[in-house]
Amino acid sequence: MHNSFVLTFVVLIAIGFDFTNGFHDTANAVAPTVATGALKPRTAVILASVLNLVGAFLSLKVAATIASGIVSQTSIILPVIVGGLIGAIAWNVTTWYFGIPSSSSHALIGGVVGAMMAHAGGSAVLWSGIVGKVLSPAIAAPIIALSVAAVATTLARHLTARTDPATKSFAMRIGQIGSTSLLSIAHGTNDAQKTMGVITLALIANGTLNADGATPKWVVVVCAVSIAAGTLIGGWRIIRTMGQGFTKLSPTQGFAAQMTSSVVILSASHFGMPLSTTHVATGSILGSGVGTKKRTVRWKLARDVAMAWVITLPAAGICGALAFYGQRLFGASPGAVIMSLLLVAYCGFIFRLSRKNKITAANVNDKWGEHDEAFEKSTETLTTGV
Amino acid sequence: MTTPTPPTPLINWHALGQVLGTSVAFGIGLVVIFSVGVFSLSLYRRPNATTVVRSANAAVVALMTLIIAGSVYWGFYLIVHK
Repeated sequence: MHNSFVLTFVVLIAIGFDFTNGFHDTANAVAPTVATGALKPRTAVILASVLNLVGAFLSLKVAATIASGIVSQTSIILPVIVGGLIGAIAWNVTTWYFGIPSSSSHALIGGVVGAMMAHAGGSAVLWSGIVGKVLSPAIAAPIIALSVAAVATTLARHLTARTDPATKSFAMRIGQIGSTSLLSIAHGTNDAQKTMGVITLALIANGTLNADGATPKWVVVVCAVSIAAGTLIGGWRIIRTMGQGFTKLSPTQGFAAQMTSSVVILSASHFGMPLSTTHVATGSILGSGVGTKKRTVRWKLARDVAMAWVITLPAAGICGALAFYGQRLFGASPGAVIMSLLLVAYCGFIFRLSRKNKITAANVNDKWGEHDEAFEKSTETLTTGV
Repeated sequence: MTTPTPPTPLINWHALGQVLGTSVAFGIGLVVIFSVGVFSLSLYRRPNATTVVRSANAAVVALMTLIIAGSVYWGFYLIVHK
């Protein structure tokens, strides 16, 4: 089926998703670096943006698309991809507003699954793939990251206990900059390729590209620039939650958390276990809090974020299904336009709401708003150099 | 007669085990190596350190830096060649 009009919309919405993916996931790489002052907030975001751009060009093996093993490939049509992308963007923007670090990949998978169920029913969804590729890694990722980061932080704390604070602070900050760089490159490589895969899938579904055709160069360039631009905007609301909300990060904790995230993400990528960067980064930060002497972590916030992870798949799925039904109601081409306009209106509404409680580079490191007496008491003895 | 192929498990326990093992070994290992390097750097920078102490700690710092740099290179290799 050739429908260049809908295809154009798929590409535009995919670029939009890539952009939200960029600013939504900036926190994964830079939150501890910003929180500990290893880099100034703007500098950290610019570094992450440039390295995301570089990462997107490093590996061009878009071997598997995002939907591979999740939904029946033969049932995929352009309106399903449009619905999936709209669902993912809507959920990403919503969680960004609330400062919740949720997985962009899970939002995309949820959106596509929801749209596919609306199109072809539950039988077109490969549920074993959902369990094996989404649910089990979602449970494993934060547990592995939390445990490793907790042990690493504890050991680092003891090993550097007799180190002079200035040397320790300086070295840990250098270490943080290095691990931030590695994380940013890995993110650019992994996540930009997901959108490249979505656009390639749309080109194949539309008959524009042969099933075995290589991803066109323009797709690579557009996705790389889009994710880098999104990262450059800086998802300050989520950076704040991850950097200030979960625990009070010292340079040692920040370094241990980021090094753990880098190792877990790279090894998962190497061994073919699709772990969410967001889940790993969140688990590592929580683990670095557990590894402190007084185990200072805001567990209530962690519980709320975990709840958001649980509902990411169904929530994005519902949005994706609604976007698909909208296209069916109005017809493929007008439906894609109307659904996209609704999405733009929703994003505009959320953006306006966010202006009432602006979080920027200037106030991203302000004291966490929610007063928690027990937490404040347990962290008052900590110094930033430790 | 052929032996029936065992069904593919829902969860890839093998990959999960590999990720866990590598994460524990390298995640904790690299942080420990870096921390030892930081401690040695601190000893090296002490004003009252003797030449022997300074040389020994400089060697430790250099070794730890090499290991960390090698690991970062390996990380890049994994990104590019995955």
